[in-house]
Amino acid sequence: MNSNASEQARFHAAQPGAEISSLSFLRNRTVQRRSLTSKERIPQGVAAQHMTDPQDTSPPDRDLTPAVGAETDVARLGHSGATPGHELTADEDRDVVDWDRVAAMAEFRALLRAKLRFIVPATIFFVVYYFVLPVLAGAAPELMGKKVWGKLNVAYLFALSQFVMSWVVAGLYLRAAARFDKQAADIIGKLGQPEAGSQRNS
Amino acid sequence: MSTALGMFLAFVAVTLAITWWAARRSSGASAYFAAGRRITGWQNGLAVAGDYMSAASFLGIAGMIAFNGYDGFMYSVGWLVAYLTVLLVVAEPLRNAGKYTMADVLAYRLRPRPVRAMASLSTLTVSTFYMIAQMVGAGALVQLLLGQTLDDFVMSSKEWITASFPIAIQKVFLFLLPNDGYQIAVIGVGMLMIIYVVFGGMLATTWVQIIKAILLMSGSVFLSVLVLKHFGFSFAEFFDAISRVPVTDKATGQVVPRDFLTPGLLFKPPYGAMDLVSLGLALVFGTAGLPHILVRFYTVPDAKTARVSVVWAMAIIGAFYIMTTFLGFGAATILTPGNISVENMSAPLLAKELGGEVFFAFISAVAFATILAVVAGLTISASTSFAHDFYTNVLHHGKERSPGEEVRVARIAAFVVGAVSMFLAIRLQTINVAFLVGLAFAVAASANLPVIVLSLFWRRFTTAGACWGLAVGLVSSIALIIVSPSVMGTDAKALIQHAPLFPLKNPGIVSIPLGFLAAVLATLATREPRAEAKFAELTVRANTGLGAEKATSH
Repeated sequence: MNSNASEQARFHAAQPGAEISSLSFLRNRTVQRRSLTSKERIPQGVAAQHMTDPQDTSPPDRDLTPAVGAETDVARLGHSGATPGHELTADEDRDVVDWDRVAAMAEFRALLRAKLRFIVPATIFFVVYYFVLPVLAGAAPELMGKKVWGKLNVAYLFALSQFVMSWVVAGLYLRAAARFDKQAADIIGKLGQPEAGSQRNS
Repeated sequence: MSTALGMFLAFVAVTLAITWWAARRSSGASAYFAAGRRITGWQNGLAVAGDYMSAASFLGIAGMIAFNGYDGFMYSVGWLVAYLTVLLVVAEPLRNAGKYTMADVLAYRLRPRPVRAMASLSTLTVSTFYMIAQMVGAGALVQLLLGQTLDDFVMSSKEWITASFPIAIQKVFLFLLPNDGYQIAVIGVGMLMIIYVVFGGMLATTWVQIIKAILLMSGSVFLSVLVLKHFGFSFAEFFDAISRVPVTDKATGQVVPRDFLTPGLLFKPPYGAMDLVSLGLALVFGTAGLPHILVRFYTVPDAKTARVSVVWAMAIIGAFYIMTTFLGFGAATILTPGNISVENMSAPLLAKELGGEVFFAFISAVAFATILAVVAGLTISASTSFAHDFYTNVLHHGKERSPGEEVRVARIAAFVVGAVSMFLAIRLQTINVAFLVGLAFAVAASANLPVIVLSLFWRRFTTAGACWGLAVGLVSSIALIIVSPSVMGTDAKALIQHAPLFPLKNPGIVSIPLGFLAAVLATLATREPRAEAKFAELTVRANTGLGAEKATSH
C-alpha cells in the first residue's frame, strides 16, 4: 500500500525508542494522551500527580486535547483521576489504528470472507426454516395434523424442532466464532510489526 | 392475598437494596449507562432474557395456549428464533463499534446529527409503546389479584382523610390519592422504576432483571413439574389429554372435545397464516432492533462476552417458551378453558389449582416483578437515548458543557419518561393496548434493523438513506396499525368505529420491505464520500474489536 512509509513514521513518532511489540503501541499512545488530557483538565491536587506518568517525557507534538470531550468521568468520586480508555470518544480514539491499512490486509479480508461464509447461509437457513412453519400451518393443515407418534402430530414436532434448530445454529456459530476470534487476534498481533505487514501488502 | 403482597414487597425490598448498593459504587457515564461494562456472560444472558420475557410472554402466551392450543405455541416459537438474528448479525458489531446506544453505530460514518435525531425518535417511540402496554398490564393484573383489598384500602384512607383534616388539606390529599387498585399499581410501578433507573442506573436495572429472570424461571419450572406430576409424569397421558380438551361450541352451546394440537384454532383463513408470517417477520427482525435489548450488549466487557451472553439468553428463553406450553396446555387440560375467567390469568389460576394459595401468591408476585423489571429496562434505554443521542450529540454537537451533564440529563429524562408513561397508562386504562407490543416490534423491525444492517454491511449507505429508512419504517408501521383490525373495527371494543382498511393485525409484512426500500432508494439518490471512506474503519472495528470501549478497571 502506498501509505506504508508514512504509517511507519507515525508508529515510531508515537513512541520514540520504544520496542514495538504486539499491542504495546496502542496502549502507550492511549496512556500518553490520557495523561495529557487529564493534566489539562485537573491542574491541581493529588489526582493529577497520581496519574502523571514520570517515564513519559515526550513533548506533546500536537494538541492532543480531543475535539469531542467526554468529561463525564473527570468528577469521578475518588476512584482514580485519569480518563480511562473506555471513556475516550470515537473521535479521540480515531487514529490509534490505521484502519485502511488493516482493512486492506489479506488476513482481514480472509476473516471477513470466513464470517460471511458462515453468517449468510446460516441466516438464510433459519429464516426459511422458521417461515415454513406458519406457511405450512396455513397452506397444508392436513399434513400438519397428521399423527406421527401417539397423539403427537407433524405440527407440534415441527414447532418443537424450531427450538432445537435455534440451539444448534447458535452452537455451530459459537464454534465458528472461536475461529474468527483467533483470526482477529492474529491480525491484531501482526499490527505490532508493521514491517511484516507491509511486506505482505506490497 | 396478603401473601402475594408480602412476597412482592420482599422483591421490592431486595431490589431497592441493590439500587442503594449500585448507587454507592457507580460513578461516571460508563458506569451509569453501561454498568461499567463489567457484567459477565451468564449475568447478561439472564438480564437479556429478563428484559425479553415480559408479562405478555408469561401470562399472555400461557393464556393463548390455554385457549387456542397449538396456535399459541406457534406464536411463541418466533420469540426464540429471533435471537439468531441478534446473535449472527447485530450483537458483536454493535458492541465493538458503539458506546451506549444503537445510534452510535449509525453515527459512526454517517452525519451524526440527523441520524441520531431520527434514531432517538424511533427509540423513544418503541420504548414508549412497549412501556404503556406493560404499565396497563400491570394495573390490570393488580386489579385482578388485589383489586378488592386495594379498593378497600383506598376507601378507608379517604374516610381517614375526611375525618382528620381541614377541608383545604383534604382536597389536596384526595386529589393526590389514587382512585383504585389500578392507579395504585401504575403509580407504584412507575415510582419504583424511576428509583431503580435514576439512582441505580444500568447496574441496578441489570440486577433487577437477573433476579426477576431467576424468579420467573424457577416459578415456571416448578409449575411445569406440577403439571407433569398431575399426569403421573407420563407424556403419553398428557398429550392424550391435550388431544381432547373440552370446549364449549359457540354455535350449539354444547361441550365437545377438541384436539388442541391442531393448528388453526386462532389463526383462521383467509388472513390467519399471512398474519402469522407478518408477526414472525416483526419478531425475527424486530428483536435485533429493540433498543432495550441492544443496550444490554454495551454492559459486557467485549464482543466475545456479548456473543456468549446471547447464547445464554437463548438457552434460558428457549427453555422458558417450551415450559409455557406445559403451563398453557396444563391450564387447558386441568382447568379447561370454560373455567378460566380471564385468559391472561391462566397461569396464576393453574398455580392456585395445583400448588395452593401460597404458590398462587408466588406466581402472581413473579408476574408483577416481571412487569416492574421490564419497564425499568425500557426506561433506562429511553433515557440513555435521549441524553446521549439527542441532548449531547444533536443539541450540543457532542460536547458536554459541564462534567457529568449527560448522566444528569439521563436521570431527568428517566424521571420524565416515568411520569409521562404513568399518566398515559392511567388515561388508557379502559383501552385494550396489547397491540402496542406488536407495534413496538414492528417499528423496531421496519425502522431500526434495516438501517443497522445496511450501515454495517453496505459501503455506499448514506445519511439520507438512514434517515429515510428510519422515517418510512416508523411512519408506515404506525399508519398500518391504525388502519388494522387492532384499532379499527365495527364492534364496541374498537378504538375507531370503521371497517379496517388493512386486513392484517401485524404490519411487518408490508412495513419492513418499505423501510428497507426507503433506505436503499434514498441512498441511491445521494452520494456521501466521507461515509464511504469511513466504511473501512467501521468494518475493522466491528470485526476485530480494535479500539472498542473497554471495561472499567477500578
